[in-house]
Amino acid sequence: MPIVPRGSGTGLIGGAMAPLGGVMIGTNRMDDILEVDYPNRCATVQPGLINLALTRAVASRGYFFAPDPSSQMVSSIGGNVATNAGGPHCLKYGITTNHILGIELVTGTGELVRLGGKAADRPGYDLLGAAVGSEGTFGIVTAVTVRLLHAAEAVKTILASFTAIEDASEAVSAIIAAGIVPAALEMLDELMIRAINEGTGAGYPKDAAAVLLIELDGPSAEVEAQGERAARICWERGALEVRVAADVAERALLWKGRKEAAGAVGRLAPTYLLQDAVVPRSKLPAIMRELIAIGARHRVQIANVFHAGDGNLHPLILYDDREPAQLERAKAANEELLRACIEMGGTVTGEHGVGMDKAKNLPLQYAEADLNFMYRLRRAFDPDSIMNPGKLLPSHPACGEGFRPARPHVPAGAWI
Amino acid sequence: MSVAARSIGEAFVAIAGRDRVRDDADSLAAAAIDGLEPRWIVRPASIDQLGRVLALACDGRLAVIPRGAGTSLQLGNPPARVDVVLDLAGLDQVIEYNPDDLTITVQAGITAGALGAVLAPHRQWLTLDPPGVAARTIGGIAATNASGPLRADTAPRATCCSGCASCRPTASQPGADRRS
Repeated sequence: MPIVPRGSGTGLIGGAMAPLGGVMIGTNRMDDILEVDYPNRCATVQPGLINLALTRAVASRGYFFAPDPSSQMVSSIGGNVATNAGGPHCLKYGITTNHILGIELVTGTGELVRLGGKAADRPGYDLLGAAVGSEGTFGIVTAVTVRLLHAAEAVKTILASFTAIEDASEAVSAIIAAGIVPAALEMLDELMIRAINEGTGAGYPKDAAAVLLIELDGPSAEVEAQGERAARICWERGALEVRVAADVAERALLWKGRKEAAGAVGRLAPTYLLQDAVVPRSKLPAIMRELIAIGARHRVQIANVFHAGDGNLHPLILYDDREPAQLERAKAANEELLRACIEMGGTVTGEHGVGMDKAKNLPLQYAEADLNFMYRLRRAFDPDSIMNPGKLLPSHPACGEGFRPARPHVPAGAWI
Repeated sequence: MSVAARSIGEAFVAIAGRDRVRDDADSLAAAAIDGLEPRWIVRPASIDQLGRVLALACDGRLAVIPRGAGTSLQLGNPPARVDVVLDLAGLDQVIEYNPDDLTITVQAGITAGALGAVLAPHRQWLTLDPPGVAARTIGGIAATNASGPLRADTAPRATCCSGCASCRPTASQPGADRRS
């Protein structure tokens, strides 16, 4: 009997769907903060706790929980652990796995195991590292010990606009190469800027082909100096305008457009496929050229809003689902783009996870020996493959997985 | 030495070449771990050789202990047995380095000192600082999860190691890695 764990159900890859039926276990009522341990800068929470609720609970003492997926107002920490979620500020602070110190897990055989813990240097295999991002295929997480970070002294948000997306891509690479690691470094393209301006009133420059949103944090002196250098790099790369948020309200407005981008796209098209592939940062200019060519070749509009600083693309391939031909073209463009990213040394997913959406794509990235290793690891936790079957790993009859996920009536990649 | 042992030794020679397989008394004594001497010291020159050495050891049920700089072999329990010391010092190449990406891919046998010398002209550095770091190999640092005083500052940042490829005793081809 398949068991499907579910947090808030905000995942983008069908991870909390039940394609084979079975029992869904909702963790959303397990939402207590069990312990906040300020001297050790960590907290232990139940998996259903909402991501932002933890930061709100510790903010008065100057702390925060770093992983900040766009869904953080509604997504659960258990879900963040399952997908190894990322977010705009993961460029500097790392993704979820870098902030999980320990978990309590009920495995597919019903055993309760504790992996990791508060103390550093735990001897033995790093099973915690393997379990974070395992998308419920090892078991159900029942408690999570997370790292808390102290909020930075100063924050500076800069918006730089460019007349060409390639100039913006080169500025991204130049900023990082200069030794500046911004807290966040996001890029939006022309189509997305238009959608955001119409949909949210964030007031991004109208005539720009690309916008960079650069956020620096740290000690004031460092933030000031790095802000000036980052601005200079943008000017050198032909920026149209470099705007520094003057106060908290302006900062919030600059971010508002970014955070509400996915909704604003409704202004452009009724439906979209969302891609989450990653390329090495230095390949950004090349992949943006390729992306434009792919869009033209398949006659689809592609809007871009993504974590440029770590090369994590989020192209939104727009289509109208009332026209089946459009969907086919969008799917073809999606597939081609994914392959282009892998060829440049990238990965199939940066932060959304694999789920049902990308299981079939894993062989693009991993050799058979690598995948067989993953099957064997999964079997150690869940020998009968009852935990969230059909997710993460492609069905593999040779390995005796014993299931073949039914194809749902939802186009691949269409999770929004 | 039995016939079987001699033929295994010759098989190692066939894979790695005569100058990369040692079984003389002095070398074996020098390679002893907690007083336990190996039967061979093999120093592969390529990943392909490494895979074939491990496959052979697996077939012969030989106990293999990988060695980087050999600085930490005395840690932990004494080994129950050791047949082959797998010396990784011959695998010390930089595979890919693009300074703008802030990542570098190296083979396991490169020392942290040699790696630092590659990074320094680009004003980059490895934040790992276990005791005696310059002489230690990256593979050894990873195997022992070694760290130093700087981890208090750098630990909360994104991790230092973003992926690795490894040879398994039963597989001759290392697979793809994850790099992002």
